[in-house]
Amino acid sequence: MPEQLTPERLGAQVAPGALAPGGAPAAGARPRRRSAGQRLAPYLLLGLPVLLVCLALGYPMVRQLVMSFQEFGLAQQFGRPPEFVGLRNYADVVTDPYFWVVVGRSIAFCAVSAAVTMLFGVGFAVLMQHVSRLPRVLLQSALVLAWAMPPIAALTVYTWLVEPRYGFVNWLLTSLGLQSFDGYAWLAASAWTFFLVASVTVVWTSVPLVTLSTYAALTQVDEEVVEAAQLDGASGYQRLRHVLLPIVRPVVLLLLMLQVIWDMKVFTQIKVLQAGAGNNERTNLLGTYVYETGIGGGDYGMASALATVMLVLVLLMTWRYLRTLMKQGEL
Amino acid sequence: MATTEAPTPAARRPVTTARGRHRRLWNVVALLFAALWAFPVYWMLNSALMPAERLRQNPPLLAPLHPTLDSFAGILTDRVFWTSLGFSMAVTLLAVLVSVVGATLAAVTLSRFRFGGRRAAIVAVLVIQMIPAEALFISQYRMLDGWGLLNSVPGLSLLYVGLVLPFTVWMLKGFVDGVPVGLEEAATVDGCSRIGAFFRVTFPLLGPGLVATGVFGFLVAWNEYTLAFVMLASGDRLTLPVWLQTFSSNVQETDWSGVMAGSSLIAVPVIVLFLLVQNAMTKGMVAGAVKG
Amino acid sequence: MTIPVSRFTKALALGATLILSLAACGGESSSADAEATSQDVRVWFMKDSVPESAATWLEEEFEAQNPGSDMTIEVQQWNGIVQKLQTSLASEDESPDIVEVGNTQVATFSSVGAFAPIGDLEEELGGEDLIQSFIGAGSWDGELYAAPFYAGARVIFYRTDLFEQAGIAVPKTIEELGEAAKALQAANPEGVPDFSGMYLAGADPHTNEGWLFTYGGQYAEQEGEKWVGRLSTPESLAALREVQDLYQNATKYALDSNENAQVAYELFNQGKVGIYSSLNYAVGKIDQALWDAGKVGVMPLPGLEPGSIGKTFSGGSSIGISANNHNQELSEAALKLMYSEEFQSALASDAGWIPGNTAYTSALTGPTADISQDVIQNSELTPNSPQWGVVDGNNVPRDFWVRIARGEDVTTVAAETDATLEKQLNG
Repeated sequence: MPEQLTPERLGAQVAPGALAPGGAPAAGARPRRRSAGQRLAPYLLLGLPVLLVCLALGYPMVRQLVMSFQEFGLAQQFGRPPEFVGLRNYADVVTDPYFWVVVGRSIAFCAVSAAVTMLFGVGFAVLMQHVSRLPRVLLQSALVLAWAMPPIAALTVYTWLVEPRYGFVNWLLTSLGLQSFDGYAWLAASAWTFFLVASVTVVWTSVPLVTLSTYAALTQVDEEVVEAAQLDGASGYQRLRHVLLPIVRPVVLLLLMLQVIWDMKVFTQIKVLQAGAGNNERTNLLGTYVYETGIGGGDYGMASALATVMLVLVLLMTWRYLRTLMKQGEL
Repeated sequence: MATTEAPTPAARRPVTTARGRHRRLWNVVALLFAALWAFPVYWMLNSALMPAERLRQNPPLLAPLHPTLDSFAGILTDRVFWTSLGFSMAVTLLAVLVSVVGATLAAVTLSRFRFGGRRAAIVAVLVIQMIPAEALFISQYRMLDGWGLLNSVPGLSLLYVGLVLPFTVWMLKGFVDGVPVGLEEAATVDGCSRIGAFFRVTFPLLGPGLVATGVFGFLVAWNEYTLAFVMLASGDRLTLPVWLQTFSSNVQETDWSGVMAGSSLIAVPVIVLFLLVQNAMTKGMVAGAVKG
Repeated sequence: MTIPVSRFTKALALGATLILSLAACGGESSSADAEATSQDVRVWFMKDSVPESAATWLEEEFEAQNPGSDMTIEVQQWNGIVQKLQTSLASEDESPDIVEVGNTQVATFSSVGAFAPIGDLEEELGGEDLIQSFIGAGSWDGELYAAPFYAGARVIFYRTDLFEQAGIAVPKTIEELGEAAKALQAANPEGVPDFSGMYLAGADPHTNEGWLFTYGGQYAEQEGEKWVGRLSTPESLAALREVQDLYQNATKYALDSNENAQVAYELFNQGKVGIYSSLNYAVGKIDQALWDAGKVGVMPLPGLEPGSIGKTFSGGSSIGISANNHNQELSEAALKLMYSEEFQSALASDAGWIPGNTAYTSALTGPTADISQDVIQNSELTPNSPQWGVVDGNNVPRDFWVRIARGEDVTTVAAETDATLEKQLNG
């Protein structure tokens, strides 16, 4: 059956790997005899992209690594030769209790935001399968709007929405009878409400990608399988649980991993909200903490060590997934 | 925004009354969430269309009863907005172009060739995305400084390529994987060279994938704020997000109406692009058909 | 969990090596033309500092005096400026030639050699007439790196009519001021909903610092080589308790946002606030109708003793020549021009600043002109440490005052902030 092209497919295309749930690698590409030219070809083809990444990230990465072993502060930035201090920066990082507070906070923020994002994202995708055309198109359009909105613009809107005196949220809550929200300062009053707002902005922007990819994957599920299950008397929930979800599982897992990576690295949202109000010390996540130490605090050596530790942390968190991904041969 | 729709499986099923009731319920839920997700965008436009002095009042006005385009006019007559728009456009387009070319090469290689270090390269694509960007700024700044590329289109574009490329490689690889190798092999049997077969058969089918990756790259580069803030210093070379921040703190009392109008104007090109792309993809998406 | 050295691990390691080894292709070529001079001078002013008229005059006058040269003035945002200067001033190509910096940020840059020494010019720029407390802030190791550009005097505006209606006398000491604010809030003479005796917000540290400094407190002081937090001293704690009392009983805006703190004069204009502390240039923000009706009074922050003047933080800017400037001679010429009578007077008359060269203070006009000089003379600065710019950039003072505003225990907050300050100042 030729698949119709629907706008929903867009989601599939834009989603990484969403294309081929359980996607088989291009197994055919294994010619028996290979000339030297053919053997060199992949390396030549990779030359340009590798060079580009190297220029943009590779050199700064190496420098960061070197700086993490140096005493490198403002004075060094203005010309004093840096001094190697071995592992001192790393020791300072891991012995600082505040660092672990920030790590814990980041993991919690990431876990909650990523979980809520996946819940809404996948939920919407399933929902979209069960509604009429108009609501589906409207939901989809709303999601695309949220997705396309530049974070800076979105953050400005959110700051304005939770503005203590003239903001919509306080007005709504007080009109509903919750007088304690009259003039409530969401960003300044407590770290909890600060992170609530931050998490809402993050979830709001992240859900569209998840929904559109998952929905596209769902529409690719063979109808006959679903119908067969239906004939076997499977309830809606059972169909979802035992037929649909296993099929979209690889897509959802990949999206989850990307979400974890992105939410651990969240920076702009926190930074902009901190600038408006809020307490830096109590609302720092790893991203803003690295920034505050480095560019903010002028201690680049320490910031580099922090960034390296952070990279290792994210690697550890996604390690098992990366491993399975490779073992399954999906790469 | 969707113009063409295929009936979904659900739509074709006979609708019993119980199911009809359920469906109505789900419809309402979907509409509620649609409203929830669109609300911030609505609020942005609502605020942009109100004169600034009407915004600072409680209760807030839920709809612009006396809409005015003053805020938009104010921005559209601002020279800095236009220079920033041009600069943003140039940086974004260059970054997208370079990324898509680079990503195509990488994706095809990773999908079609087996070679030593292939897996490592794929893992690298994922791991690169985990690198925290905040500590790289200083080195990136010095690097661009050394090359005299600060405050320039190519300089910022290069950094954006670093930001966009890994993910686009990953995405595009999915597309290439989706084109059956069988097609290429058939062409090879017909006498095409391997490369020739790729360009005649696979490449045309990748069109929609290229568009999709391009759009993704555009989205990232167009919306990026922090790198641009660090790398750009001179007044007439700003990207739009940096301009927006400047604009909102430039006036003593934040002109919320103006800020919202500015936000709307930044978001518009991206939304328009999504709409355009949808059509392009509708036409060109043969990949899916072949795959089925 | 045991992690065997699997193919996956190897692949990962190889991937990492690949990135790193290939990364060596990047490089940092130092520009060969570092010594090249330019005929153009690039000046960075901060937003809201130099009035448009004065900037235009400066450009035209400079270009007239130095034929063939060009002056470009670029206006920078306060938000994130320390970060921006860290990178920009270090760039040989992209560094501006002359930079205005906040007086609390100067030390951060002068201590690391980001500015060219200008001690030789001190006499020409104004010598003894330059604001002396700023000279200290602009010096490092006995050499002057940044000259006092202007200062803003922090004054108290109050609604005389409301004071009269509530039968409150004009306060003569800082304690009386607090009592007046509380009494005014309780009286609410005009029955305005949500009326506040005074505007006081944690997001506006400099107003709060008026209490801290007047009571004899400070954030931190230097003892030998080390900085020691001073927020837990009896003087500081007394100030903090007083301020917390005001947050609870004299204002409804304790947790106002940054944005709103900047536009607090709106509340004053609307009659929602009886007392409002701000830099003297806020005169122009207050409704002319209120001035005309004689309803606005101005006074310095009162001190501990009747008739004395309290110590306020004196906001302001210094200006220096970047060590990476492109033409020392022209940069110096431009700097001198900024200390000409015309320019300095324009800073006073058009922007309401106390000019860096106090000889031209007479150009100040308006209701605050009489007291501005006194306020500046009684002003105090935040710790003059290279690290203070960092502390400030990381919003430590703001976070501290917001916690006080939120009603947290004063001694705990003070002790914790002392620890933070010591860590960052000595770090």
